[in-house]
Amino acid sequence: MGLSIVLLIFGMFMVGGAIFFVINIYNSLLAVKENVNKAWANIDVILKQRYDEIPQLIKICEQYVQFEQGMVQKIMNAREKMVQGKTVKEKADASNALTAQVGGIMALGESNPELKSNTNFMQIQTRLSSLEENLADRRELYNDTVNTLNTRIQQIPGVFFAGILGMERRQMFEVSEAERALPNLDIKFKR
Amino acid sequence: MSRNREGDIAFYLMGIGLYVFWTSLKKIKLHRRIKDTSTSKIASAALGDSVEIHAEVIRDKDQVFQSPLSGKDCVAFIWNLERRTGGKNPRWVLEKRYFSTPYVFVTDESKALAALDLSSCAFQEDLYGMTKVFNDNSYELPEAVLKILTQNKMVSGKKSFLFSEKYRLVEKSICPGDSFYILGTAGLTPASEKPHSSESSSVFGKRKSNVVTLINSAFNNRKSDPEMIQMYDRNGNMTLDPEEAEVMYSDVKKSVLKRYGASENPENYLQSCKFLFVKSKGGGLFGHDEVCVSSKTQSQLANSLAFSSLLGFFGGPAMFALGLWMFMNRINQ
Repeated sequence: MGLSIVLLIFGMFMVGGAIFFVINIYNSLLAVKENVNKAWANIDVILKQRYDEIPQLIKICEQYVQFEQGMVQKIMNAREKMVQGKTVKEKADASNALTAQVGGIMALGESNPELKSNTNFMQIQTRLSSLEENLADRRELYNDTVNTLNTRIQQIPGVFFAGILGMERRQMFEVSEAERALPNLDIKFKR
Repeated sequence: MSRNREGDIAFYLMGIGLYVFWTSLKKIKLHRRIKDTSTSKIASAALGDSVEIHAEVIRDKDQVFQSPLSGKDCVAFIWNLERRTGGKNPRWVLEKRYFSTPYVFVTDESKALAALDLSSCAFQEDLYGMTKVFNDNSYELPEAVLKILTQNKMVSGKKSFLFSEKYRLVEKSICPGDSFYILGTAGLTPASEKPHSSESSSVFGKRKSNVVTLINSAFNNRKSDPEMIQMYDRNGNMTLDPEEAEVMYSDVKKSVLKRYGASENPENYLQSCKFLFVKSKGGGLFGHDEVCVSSKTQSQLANSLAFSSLLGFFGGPAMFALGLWMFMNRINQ
C-alpha cells in the first residue's frame, strides 16, 4: 500500500514535469519565432535609416559629378523597392542592389579630391559606413536566429508543434557575389 | 536511528526533493532560452529582452579596487553578509549585500561598451571568492573590512558581550580580463551613476574613494621627493607652486590609472555605454528575470544546465518519494 502511494506520487511528479516540458517547448518555439521577427525589425530600422540618407548623398554628389541620365532614378527605384518590399527576399535583393550602388557613389570620393574634402560628404560617408557595418552585424544575427528557428521546427519535438503554430521555414538575408561587386557607374566629373 | 530523527530526515528529504525538482524546471527553461538565443555584438545589438553577448571585463578609470579579504586586484567586489540562524535547523541567511561599485563594464570584438548592473546579475558559477566567518562581538576581521562594514551600517560596530551572533562574509571578485557569457535584458543607460536597485538590502560603495586614495598617496610621495620637486619646479624657486603641483598631480594620476590599465578618458564608461543589462520586468512562474552571467561559453553552460536539470528532474521526485516512504513507514510502526 505504502509503496504504491510512493510510486503514485513519483508518477505524478513525472506527469507534472512532462506537462511543463510540453508547455516549455511550445513557449520556446513562440519565443524563437518572435526573436526572428525582432531581428528582422532591427534590420528594418537600419534600412529605413539608410533610406533617409541616400537623397542627401546624391544631392551633395550632384554638385561635383554628372550622373548618367536615369542612373539617379535607378538608385531611387532600388530605394523605394527596399521600403515597399513585402518579403525578406524582396527587401534583401533591393537592399543588396542599393548597397552596391551606394558603394559605387561613395567610391567617387576617391577619384574626386573636391568631393572628398566636402564636410557634408565626409559626414554622410561616415554615417553610411557605420550603417552598413550595423546592417552586416544585424544580418548575421538575423541569419543565426532564422537558422535556429528552421532547425527547431524540423527537429523532434518542435516538429509536432510547428504545424499547430503555423510556423514555416524562414528565408535568410543572403548576399550574392554579383550583388557584392561595385557597379560600373557611368559618370562625368564637373569642372 | 530514533523515530524522531527518522521523521526529521523524511521531512528534509521531501523538502529538498521539492526544491531540487523546482530548480530543475527553472534550469530546463534557462537551458532552452540559452540554446534559442543568438549571440550579438555589443555595437549592433538592439535594446530589449534576450540579448546575448560574449564579452570581456574592462576597468573604468575609478574602478581600482583591491578585494579586502583576498587582496585581489579587481574592478568590483561583492560581499554577501550572512547570519547564522539559531534553533534546531541552523543555516546561513543573507542579511545584506554590498557592491563596491554598481556597474561593471564589458567590451567585445566590436569595441563597443556595455554595462552590467551588478544587483541584477545571477552568476551561474562561483567567481573567485573568499569566505570569512566572524562573531559580532569579537571582530576578528581585517581593519579595512570592518571599516567598510561599519561605515555602511552592515554591522553595528558596537561590541556586545551579552549577545553574540555568528556572521559570514562571502566575497566575490570581478577582475579585468574576465570573460563572460551574458544573457539578459538590455535597457537604456541611466544618465547618472546613482544605483537604481530596488533591493533595500543592497549597499553600494562610493566608486571614487579607492582610486583617489591611491592617487593622493602617490602624489604625496612624489611631493616629498626633492628630485621630483626639482623636476617640476619650472620657475626655479625650489618650491612647488599650485600650477606646478597641478601638473605633478595630473602626471601621478595618469601613471596610477595606467598602472591599473584603467581608462584615462575624462568621461566614465557609463556615458559611452551602448546599453545596460538590467533585471527584466516579470520573469513568470519559472522565469529568469535576472541577467544570466557565466564564465563558461554558451555551449558549456547549456550542457552543464542540461545535465544538472536532468539530474534534478528525476532526482528531486525520487528524494521526495523516499522521504514520503520513510514518513509513512514511521506512521505505520
